[in-house]
Amino acid sequence: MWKIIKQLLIISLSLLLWENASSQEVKAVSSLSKDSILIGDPVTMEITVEAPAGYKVFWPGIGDTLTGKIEVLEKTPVDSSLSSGKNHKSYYRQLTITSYDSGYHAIPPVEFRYRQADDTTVNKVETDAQLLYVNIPQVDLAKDIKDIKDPMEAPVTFRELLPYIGGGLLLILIAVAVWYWLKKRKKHEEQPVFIKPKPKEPPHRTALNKLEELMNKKLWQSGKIKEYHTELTDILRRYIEDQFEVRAVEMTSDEILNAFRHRLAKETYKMLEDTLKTADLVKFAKYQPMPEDHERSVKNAYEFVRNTMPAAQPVYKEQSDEPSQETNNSDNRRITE
Amino acid sequence: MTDVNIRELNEKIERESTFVEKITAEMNKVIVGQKHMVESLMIGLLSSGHVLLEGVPGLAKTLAISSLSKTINAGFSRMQFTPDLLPADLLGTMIYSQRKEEFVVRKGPIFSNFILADEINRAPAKVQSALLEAMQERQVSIGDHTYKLEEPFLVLATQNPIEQEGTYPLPEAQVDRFMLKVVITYPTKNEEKYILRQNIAQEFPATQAVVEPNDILKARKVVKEVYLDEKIENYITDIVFATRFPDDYNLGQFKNLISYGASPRASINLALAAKSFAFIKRRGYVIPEDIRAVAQNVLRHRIGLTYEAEAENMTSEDIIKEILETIEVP
Repeated sequence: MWKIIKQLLIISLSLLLWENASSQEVKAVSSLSKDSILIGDPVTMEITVEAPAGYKVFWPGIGDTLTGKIEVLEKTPVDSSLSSGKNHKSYYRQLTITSYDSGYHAIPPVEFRYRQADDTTVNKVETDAQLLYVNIPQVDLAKDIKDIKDPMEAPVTFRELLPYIGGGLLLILIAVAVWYWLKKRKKHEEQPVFIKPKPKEPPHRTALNKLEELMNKKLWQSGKIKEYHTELTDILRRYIEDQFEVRAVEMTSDEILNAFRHRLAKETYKMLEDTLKTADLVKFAKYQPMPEDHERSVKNAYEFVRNTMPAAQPVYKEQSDEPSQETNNSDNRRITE
Repeated sequence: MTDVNIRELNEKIERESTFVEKITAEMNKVIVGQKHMVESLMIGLLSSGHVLLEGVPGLAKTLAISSLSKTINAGFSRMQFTPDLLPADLLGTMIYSQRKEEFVVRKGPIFSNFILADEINRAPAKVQSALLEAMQERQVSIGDHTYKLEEPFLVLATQNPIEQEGTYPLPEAQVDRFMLKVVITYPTKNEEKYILRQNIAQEFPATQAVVEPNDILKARKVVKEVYLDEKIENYITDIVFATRFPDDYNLGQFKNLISYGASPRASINLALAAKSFAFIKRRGYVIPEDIRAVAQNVLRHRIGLTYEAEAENMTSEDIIKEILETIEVP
């Protein structure tokens, strides 16, 4: 019996020794950057696992808390490195933890599972438990109650400043553009106008020239009677419109005659009436006047213009600064010529 | 000296148009003033075009039309349009004759030479439509028979612009069938005094028949012969096109005020009315004055105005006036 117990004891001891030897190959260590903090202060917890190369180590899942009173603020990914002899591999991870409860808090051991590459047996190894002491600020009850601190100003980033910088640049650009425009405008206003406006030809001069052109065309002589009288009355209408500011171009013959009934000498009125009425008959009633009627019409038109033009109308000639005088006599000469 | 055709035509018109003076003289016995209305009725009569008269009550619209029919010795029917009027009341219907033991046609008041459709906008659309169809076709269908209306056939409709409640305004398409829309205004102070004396006298003057309907039909043929030069045709088309495309005639300010311009029927009626006006003036050819004289009456009901125009108190008359003052006269 004793022999059996002794054999069993030896087997158990050798198994225990073998397990110890095996677990000593894989080491898990955790450490805190400080074991005492003010409430809410962050503390760094470093976890390192060392295992022979070829071992597969399984990290435990770490959530938002380690215990009910210890919270995980940040966690780095698992980093690994091989030792110089490449016979060991280290796994490293850093957690930032804190606690909002005062007092001592135990950080439980972190448990790792591992196995050899050619073995399916899974073993465990764990870090030591840690103790974290969380202080609370000491309040002097004898002193007055103070207000809570103002929120801390976060540092301003470039991205936040970018819209303001862009807007500022745009405003400067607009201001420069406005300044440039105003300067240019002022310069333009100050610029003296040296160009003398081209004097407008007086209406009677235009009318007389056109009547002469009409005569030279010899329209009625070539059978274009309607065109001749249309052009003749157009010249008269334009002259009346420009000289008397009467909208003669848009008026009928009767309307024109009504407008002049009491403004012209009887003889001049008769001339105008005769020219317009003859033209109306030609234009609208297929009237074929005799040659002397054509000549009488244009003569009447000449007379009408000469009798109604200003007595001494200054005529500005092109390329001449001085006005020259033309009178009725000069027009008379033109007609008799 | 004058072209032979025109001279002959002028002489012919001189002969044929003597009745115009007779009619005018007879009408002047009973109608004081309103020369424009009488002239417009004559234009309608000579052009075979129907006339829409618009004016406040008491301006002798009815008297003018009845007097005109009396001077021509023609038939005259007056119909007071009311909301309960039926097409059959106007055109006629078939009634059963117990004596003949068959349906016989009972012709309506439209079978006359001169029809006065008083307050046409008081009748519902179907009655208006029946009347306007008869006006256009100059014939009426009752049962299986179609009856030609006797010439001269002239419809003179009146509209009261004041009382608009309970009225059925004529649609644009139907208004377009009236050759002229004549707006009648109040008489002058002197005319009013004369009207007053005339109406309180012992006897109201009566018109005599001075013309036979046949004379009118003959005159219509002569009116058609009145010479219309191409220059006048161009003037007419310019005026009508200016109502459609004001931008093209330096009238861009009307672009947003006109919703639709005058139809080709306006051009036709403008030419016909101008010919009649020339005839009344005893002329064998049309001059621009004739176009101007009839332009308002022919065009005012053929131009559609926008809300902007109404907001600016702009009337079709204002637009036509500006067009006439802008288009160059040939």
